[in-house]
Amino acid sequence: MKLAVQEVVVDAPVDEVFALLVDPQLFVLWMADEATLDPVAGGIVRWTHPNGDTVSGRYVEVDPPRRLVFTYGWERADVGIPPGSTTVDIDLTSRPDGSTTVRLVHRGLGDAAADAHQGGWRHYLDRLRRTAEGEDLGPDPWSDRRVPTPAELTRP
Amino acid sequence: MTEPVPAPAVEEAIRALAHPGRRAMLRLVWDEERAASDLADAAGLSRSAASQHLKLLREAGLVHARVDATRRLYRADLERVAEVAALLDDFWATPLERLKALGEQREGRRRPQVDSGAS
Repeated sequence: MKLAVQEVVVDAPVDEVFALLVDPQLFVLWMADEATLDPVAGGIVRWTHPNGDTVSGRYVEVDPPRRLVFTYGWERADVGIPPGSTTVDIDLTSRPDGSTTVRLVHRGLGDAAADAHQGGWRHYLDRLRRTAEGEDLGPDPWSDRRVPTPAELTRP
Repeated sequence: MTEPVPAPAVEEAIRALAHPGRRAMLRLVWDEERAASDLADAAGLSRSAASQHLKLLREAGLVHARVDATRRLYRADLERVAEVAALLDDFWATPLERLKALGEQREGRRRPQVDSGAS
């Protein structure tokens, strides 16, 4: 079983980066069109992309501003990653120059899904970085991309 | 029109308008902001189809988005729609004027004959 792992250095303090990850008003600037986030252990984490594809999970660990763990799945059944079936760990580390390293590990995905999420997280963590660094990104250029089914991922 | 719209942008706008679903969606956000999900429901389209249309409308500058609390809301950019409409008016104005002039010229040539025949 593969992991999806991404790391990005953000030129912003760790507490600001953490806020972008857990405050729904900030989360919609870079990740989704709609978000419900209740960042306490057991709280809901749910977001909807403009095409209606929705991620749903629960926070497992919330340790501001350093660490965040939540379960992750897609509500659309044909994606084959049901809510609760995978886990995302995000660790934030302050660097001496005041910037922040964001390291994300997504566990529990099948190989093809891990590859797809690797690219997805790269795209979204880059949007997180640019938002934290002061850019106003507007809607996601991937807004019309439907999350692929396993059959679509393995098709040559 | 304050600034002329660049030609590729106009083409994009015309392409965006060349679909009944997108025109319907544009009308739905004419004077009210809506979330993508509301817009899809109101237009009777799947979320996936609606998001593709919305993306084209946005890229053509015909629809704007802004974040309000925990949602992103979309609205028509009527200034931009008016710019495209004005440009199309200009486009038709020149040939229509020519057509009118041509018609009047023909009338002018024919009329003396008609007059002379009648007298």
